[in-house]
Amino acid sequence: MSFLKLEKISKFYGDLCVVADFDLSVKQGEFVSLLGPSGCGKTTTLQMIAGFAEPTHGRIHLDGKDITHARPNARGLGLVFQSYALFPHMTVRDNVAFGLLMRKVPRAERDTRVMEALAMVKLDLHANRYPRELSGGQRQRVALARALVIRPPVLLLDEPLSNLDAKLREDMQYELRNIQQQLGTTTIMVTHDQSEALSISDRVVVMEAGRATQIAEPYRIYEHPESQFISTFVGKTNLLDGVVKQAGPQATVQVGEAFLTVDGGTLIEDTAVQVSLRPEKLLPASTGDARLSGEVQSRFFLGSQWMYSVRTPAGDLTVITPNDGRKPHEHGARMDLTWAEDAARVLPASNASNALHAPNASAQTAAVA
Amino acid sequence: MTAPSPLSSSSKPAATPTPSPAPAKPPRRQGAPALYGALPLILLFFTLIVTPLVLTFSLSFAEFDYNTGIQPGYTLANYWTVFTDSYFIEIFWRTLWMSAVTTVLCVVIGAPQAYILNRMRAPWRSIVLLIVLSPLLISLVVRAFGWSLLLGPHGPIGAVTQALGVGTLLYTPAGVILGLVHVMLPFMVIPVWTSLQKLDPAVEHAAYSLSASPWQTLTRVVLPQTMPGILSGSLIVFGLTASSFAVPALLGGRRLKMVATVVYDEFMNELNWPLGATIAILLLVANVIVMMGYNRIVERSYRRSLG
Repeated sequence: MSFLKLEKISKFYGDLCVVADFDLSVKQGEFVSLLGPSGCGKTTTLQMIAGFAEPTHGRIHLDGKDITHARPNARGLGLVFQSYALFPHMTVRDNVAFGLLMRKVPRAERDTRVMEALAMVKLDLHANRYPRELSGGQRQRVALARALVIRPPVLLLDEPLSNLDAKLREDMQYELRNIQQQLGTTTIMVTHDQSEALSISDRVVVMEAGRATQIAEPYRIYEHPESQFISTFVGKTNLLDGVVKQAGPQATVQVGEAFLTVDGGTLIEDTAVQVSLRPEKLLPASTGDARLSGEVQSRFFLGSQWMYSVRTPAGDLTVITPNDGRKPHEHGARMDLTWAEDAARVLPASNASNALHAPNASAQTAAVA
Repeated sequence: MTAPSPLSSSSKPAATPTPSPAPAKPPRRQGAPALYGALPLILLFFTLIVTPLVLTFSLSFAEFDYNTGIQPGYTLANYWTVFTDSYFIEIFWRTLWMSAVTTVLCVVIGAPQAYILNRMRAPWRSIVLLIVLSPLLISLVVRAFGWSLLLGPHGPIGAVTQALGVGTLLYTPAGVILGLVHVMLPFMVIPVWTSLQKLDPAVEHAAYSLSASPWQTLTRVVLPQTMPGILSGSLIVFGLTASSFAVPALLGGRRLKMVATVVYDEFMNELNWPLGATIAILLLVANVIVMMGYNRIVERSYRRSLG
């Protein structure tokens, strides 16, 4: 049975629909991320769970109780804000103790719980500092300790790591996940950072324009995106416009001047489709095995990887190869490419690119930071 | 990160030769040019503030005779007069407590006003802010006269207070304080409002999420963060009230004097300039002591947490 259940919740501001018919069931102890670009309604959804925004329609159930209209201070949920929202006039200790004080937890128990929480986020030596005397990462930890010390049934994280620099953000991701798994706290995180969502969640909800477009495990979201939007928003991909030339279990799709063989499934002949090829699934091959050949247009060194732009009959493709010590391809060199059969995903053609423009079919390379 | 392959370095042009060090500039002299830049302000400061102050200060030691005027020579008699004459002591004491009451009333009215103002929506906020600041746009004398009309026996407030058996408030401490609070309120609202605007709105949400009631959020989270604003506002209000002249002169009348009105009396009516200068200097010293002491307390309690 689900622990936190959102039933068809919608939020309108006047005529503007911010969240539409949003359904989500979260199991106890699960870590769910709401992922989407800004303005997709993910923060509003979190605010409705927290009680700072009232759903226009729909219901929210927590542990069997209807909390749709409960006041925020009666819900007892833990919240971590993007700005951390620490109380600047209180020491770290008082910040963390605040929630326990409001719940009238006796002093002795309060003190031990505060110190436990601070030890958990490795800040027990900073208990008497003020927030402005701490670094960004430390403030983040205080915010986390303050939210977790009240032992909330659900922890809500609103872009918790977006104010940290890249290296610290990575460290905090693992720490956050570790603490969450230790305590088993049901957690919902709002983020626009797809790598953050993929790396620490049990499930990811991809949101677009107020709707949940796909709810699945991170691996599934990445490997089986259900729409063009998801395939470009989550990770990088080469999107190729094409037409099904031959249906069947092994379908053939014409992309530009090239013919690609893909898993057929339910494809119908002469329909426009898009083929999604992830850059890291494209492998350099020997000439004989090549599914596609092209010429290297440009090359970027990414440290652990090489990124190429390769001009092929199917269009310009982005290819990422590991920097495994082998000689990289030179500019202008011929590059033969292959990929595993199921690496080429066929998506229904997006409305915008339905028109066929052979022979100069262009491939979009979409990347979302 | 793996090491870049050897090819990567050969495919790129060789590193540019290290640039020759830029010709060393002579070290800039710090003190003198900065002083030249500040010169106009220093001149202004000396002519407009320091000179009158020094003149007043030296005047306060001058000997005075009612028949012959200011005499050559120096004396402490003026100070002795102020410290021993119960008339002056009473006026200093009155100024002190009336300033304190005005300050407290400004906090009690101004702080909630700023809070409400801060929570208002877009068009209303600027309208109400204009109303709050409007006293600053009208001459002090006009406002004081307005109050004397309202409070006087024929004014609406005067009529009400007379009907209640209190008598008119004109020429009473209550009337003067009323006028002062009206004049000083913007000086409280603005600093409090400023500190409220620095408040992260998420902080209130954080308090709610930790089960705090709206009242607890206000008193334990919002108010402490507004304290620097309230304290600096009360510093301004106290200082301005203690040295205020127009309102006590017009609403206090001939009887109810405050220090600034007595200084005026000594200069313009008694023509005892040295005594007037003495009182003015003592008011300045008292004000500086009160404000510096207060500021120290404020600094000590908030420097670490709110900076």
